[in-house]
Amino acid sequence: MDALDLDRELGDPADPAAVFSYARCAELDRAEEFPADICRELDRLGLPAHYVPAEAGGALRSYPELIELIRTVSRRDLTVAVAHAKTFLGSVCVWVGGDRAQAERLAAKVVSGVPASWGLTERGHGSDLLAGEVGATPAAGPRGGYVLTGEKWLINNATRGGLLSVLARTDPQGGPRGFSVLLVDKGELPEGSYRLLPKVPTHGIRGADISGIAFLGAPLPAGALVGRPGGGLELVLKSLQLTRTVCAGLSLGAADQALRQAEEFTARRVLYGGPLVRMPHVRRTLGESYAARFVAEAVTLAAARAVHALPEEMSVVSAVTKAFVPARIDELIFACGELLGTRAFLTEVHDHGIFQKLSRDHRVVSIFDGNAAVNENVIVDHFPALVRGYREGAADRDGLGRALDLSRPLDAPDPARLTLRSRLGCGLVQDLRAAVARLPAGPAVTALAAELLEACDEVHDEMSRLAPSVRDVPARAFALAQRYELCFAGAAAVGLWAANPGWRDEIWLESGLSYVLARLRPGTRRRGEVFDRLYEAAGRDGGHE
Amino acid sequence: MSNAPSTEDLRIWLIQRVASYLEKDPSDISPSVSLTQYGLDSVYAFVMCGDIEDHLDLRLEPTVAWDYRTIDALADHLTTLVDRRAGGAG
Repeated sequence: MDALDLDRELGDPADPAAVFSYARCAELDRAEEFPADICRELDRLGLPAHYVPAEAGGALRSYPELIELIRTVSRRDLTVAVAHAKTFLGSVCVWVGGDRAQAERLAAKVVSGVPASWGLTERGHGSDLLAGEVGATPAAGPRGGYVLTGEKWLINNATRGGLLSVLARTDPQGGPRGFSVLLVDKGELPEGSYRLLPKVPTHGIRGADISGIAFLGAPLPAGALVGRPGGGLELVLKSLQLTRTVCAGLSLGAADQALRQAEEFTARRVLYGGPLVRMPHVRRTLGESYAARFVAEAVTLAAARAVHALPEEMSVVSAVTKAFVPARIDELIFACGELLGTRAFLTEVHDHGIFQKLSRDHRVVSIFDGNAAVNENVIVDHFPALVRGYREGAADRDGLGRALDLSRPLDAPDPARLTLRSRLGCGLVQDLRAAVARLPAGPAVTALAAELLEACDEVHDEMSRLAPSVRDVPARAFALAQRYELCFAGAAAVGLWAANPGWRDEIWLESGLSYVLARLRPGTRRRGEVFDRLYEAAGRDGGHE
Repeated sequence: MSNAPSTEDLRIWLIQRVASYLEKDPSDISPSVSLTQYGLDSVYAFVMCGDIEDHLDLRLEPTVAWDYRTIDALADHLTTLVDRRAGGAG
């Protein structure tokens, strides 16, 4: 099943009779009720199998395809996407670090529709995973196993999930080797050995099951251990490289719907004697939003293919993707909201108030699975390798070619190649000089690409002047990491465009680079007319999708 | 590498590196104390790993400093790796 099949199977979202309709999602949101009927429908259509690698018995062969499926669900409703796709996050540690038998057992459950959940955070500790207090002690008796005690809180699907991957302290001293991942099957726990914590009311994704679970000396079999004892932090950090990439699908789906609402409203709404969309600033805002989505798509596509082709670089690539894409889409949603004016706040008009819901729902995407600060810290930690790689122009050119050339088939992802530190840095950015030199583009794009390269040189010079910090990362390092993300975004657009003749008209690259450079060099005066031309071109390319 | 560093050379070099990360005097660093006790974040391991790789021209697991938590343990482990390479090459 590809994304188009899924969308077709789900029917017209504007039809209130469809299971997964805008009307139903609005109703559930008002009631803060879990979208159980819609999740059942997604189960019936076979979506859970796409969270399971093909090698383990599922249908996940391609991360770009998984992201498009999640984007398709997110376009209709983010709450449903967050609720359903959580099963991928809840099982990913087993795909990355579990043994084959464990993966096959879990696969069978996930494919049959058992939701899984990921127990990382705890009350009072948030992103500070090494402060976690949930503890697993060895069980007495010949069969081994663990006794699990403590509370995981603000966990998506904690109540509803039948399975939970829990990060637990297995060495009382803690430290980076003091934690292990344990796969808990709630169905096998004796009564009274755990307690569910109440749903937490939230600003967005109101219907989602954001709750918690307290383990009260829960007995776990020896087979619950995923990977090595003490390997939990490493396993979680590697798994996050996959989930942070997949999260971009949530943002792209939200962007699609925000743009659709803005297009429809500005085309229909008549003010001062004509439709809103006749006004130049409206067309420019829409054009710039198309450019923003195009850049976010380029980053996501390059990252998703890198899972297959450049897994050794995913520590950088996934951190850039998760820090960049949701933040840019938050801006896009805001810009579309300005066009909608008061309509952006109304809860019952325009597809049942979907815009105000998606703008609330999307806010959480940049927070969960590592917020921007967490991801930018990862980028900062890589500065020395990134600077060196950039100066040397170092890249795994074979892997990079496979990541960028969309006509080339993707190898099965190999999680064993994921690593916490990319030794080579980031080939996509490091190859930019070579990519710009052979870019087969007209003068406008050539000039923009040269300017991007110049800005990348500046960013890397600044990065090189920052001493590696092992304790407190200075604020300006985060600002620099954000500029690095823009370098990556520009390089992704250039790289994909150059590798795929006919992929997109040149106006897309011109406006994508203009979008990136406006943020990378905010002091430079620019004319925004490229976004007007993009607006017109997008209309000619078969409507404003 | 013709002159493979001894464990003692590595110990001295590591003490200097750690002192520079912490902006402390090398005499304040004890090779037998767990590095995390000096307040080094768990990511210091990755920075240190890169520095060691450059110094010894070796490929290391990024988590090497998670598994060998004191300068003494790390120096011993690195000596083993360097010796193994020398043996393999000879």
